[in-house]
Amino acid sequence: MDALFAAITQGLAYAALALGIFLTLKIFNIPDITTDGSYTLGGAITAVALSAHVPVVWVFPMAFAGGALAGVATGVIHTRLNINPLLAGILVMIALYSVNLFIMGRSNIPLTDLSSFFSDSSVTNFIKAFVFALILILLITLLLKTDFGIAMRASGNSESMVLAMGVNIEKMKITGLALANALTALSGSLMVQYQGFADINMGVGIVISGLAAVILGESFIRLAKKSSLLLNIVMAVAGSVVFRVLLAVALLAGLPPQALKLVTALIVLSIIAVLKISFRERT
Amino acid sequence: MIRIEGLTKIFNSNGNDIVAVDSIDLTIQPAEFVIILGTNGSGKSTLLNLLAGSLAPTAGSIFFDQKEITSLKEYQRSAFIARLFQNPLAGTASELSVIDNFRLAALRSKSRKLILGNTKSFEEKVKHKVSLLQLGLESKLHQPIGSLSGGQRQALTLLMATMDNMQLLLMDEPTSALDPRSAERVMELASRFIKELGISAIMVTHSLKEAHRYGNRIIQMDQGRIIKDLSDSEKKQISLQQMIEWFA
Repeated sequence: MDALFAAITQGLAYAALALGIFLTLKIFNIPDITTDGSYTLGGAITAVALSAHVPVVWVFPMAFAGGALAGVATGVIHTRLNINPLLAGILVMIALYSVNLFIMGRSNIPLTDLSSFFSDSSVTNFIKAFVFALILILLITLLLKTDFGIAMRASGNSESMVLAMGVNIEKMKITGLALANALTALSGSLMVQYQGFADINMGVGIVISGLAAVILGESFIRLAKKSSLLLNIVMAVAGSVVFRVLLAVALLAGLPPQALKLVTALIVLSIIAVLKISFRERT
Repeated sequence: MIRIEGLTKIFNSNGNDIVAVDSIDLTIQPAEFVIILGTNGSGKSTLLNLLAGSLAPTAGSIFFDQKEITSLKEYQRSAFIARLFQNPLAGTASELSVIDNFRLAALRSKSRKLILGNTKSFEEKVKHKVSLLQLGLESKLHQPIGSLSGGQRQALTLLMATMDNMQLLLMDEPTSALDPRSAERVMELASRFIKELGISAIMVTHSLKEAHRYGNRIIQMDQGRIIKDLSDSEKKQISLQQMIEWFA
């Protein structure tokens, strides 16, 4: 029971990551994998800041800003140099590995006995992660409903239309990637505070968690046969929680931890396959 | 008023220079509705894209009300230029609701701020405008615009163009993907807006029937050059049969 409860809390801590991937993949239609680097960046900034006794309220904006910078880097490489977004993301992700090592100064920073966002009580932690996710859901939904947000949503939908409507699409893409990676970094910050340490390899393959959340969320939407902006965003977060629970169940059922990433990939693959097949049947 | 001087576009493919638009001079007055005819590859779409800013010219200049706009990017020119594309999907954002599409159109020349602009009063305004189309779309404002037909979308794109400042309307074969009835509806609407708003408009078309029926100036292009330029009175004296013979 404890393990499942912890999985739900983790899923909520990964909500920001899911929202980041939702923004790039669903709103902007850009496959961005800067994620692995910006997630660790958020964690690294958090670990170093907390070790230097920076108050927790300042740690989040710092991680957010760090992630945003990483996103700007990917965005500028993609739009100004006209480089495929996937490649732009890989370049920044690799570069961030060194940046993160510079920030941390070593490959692992434990945070024992340091005050952080989370405490020792699992119930309090759950409530905190839940409120954090809720605030993010509301903020992102609100943002996407503003005039700026409408232009953002249109950018990933029809480039010709958006240009004819006077939107500087390059600036819009850079802003979107900045916001997405800032959210990802927030997740890194939360997870470091939750697990009590930062590790240089904590971001390896983390993009797949966000992807799984968004794809699971999409399948919930198809099942519910209802769709709205708020529902899409809530479901991405729900997908994040369900994915963590699935992994926890697999581990509880005796899955050896070294098989975790393999199972992760298989879960994502099977959801995509199911979505494809059920979609084909309907059309 | 639009004025272009020595406008040239040369495409380079595999080391071969292809002159798509060949040092064209042209002035278009307000309230002028120019029809451009020409065979495939005559340079008419390229000319339209140069005016819109989606292509940069190899040489020459474009002036709008005496101000040079040659170096303005496409999104910057959108502050006074509206477009109707050949593909009805290109002028709207499919996944966004009709009302969101209109909101974006209403801000074509303005900045998009962090405010909730889709207010009740804005919705009422759009509802009224859409009801004038008499397509029954005013009850579908919250549907994704992608759920509507090509003809409905093209009519809405035109209506969206009137939501904000428009001095020039560029139309690239706007009816070629539509059924005859929808095509006629879109053309009547465009013609009406151009007259009512007193704006300049340029339409590229392959339909001689449309070319004959609409517009008050007609230009024929061939190999990147203007080979015919008929004023309103000259255009009125030309029969459809004579126009067909231009292409013989």
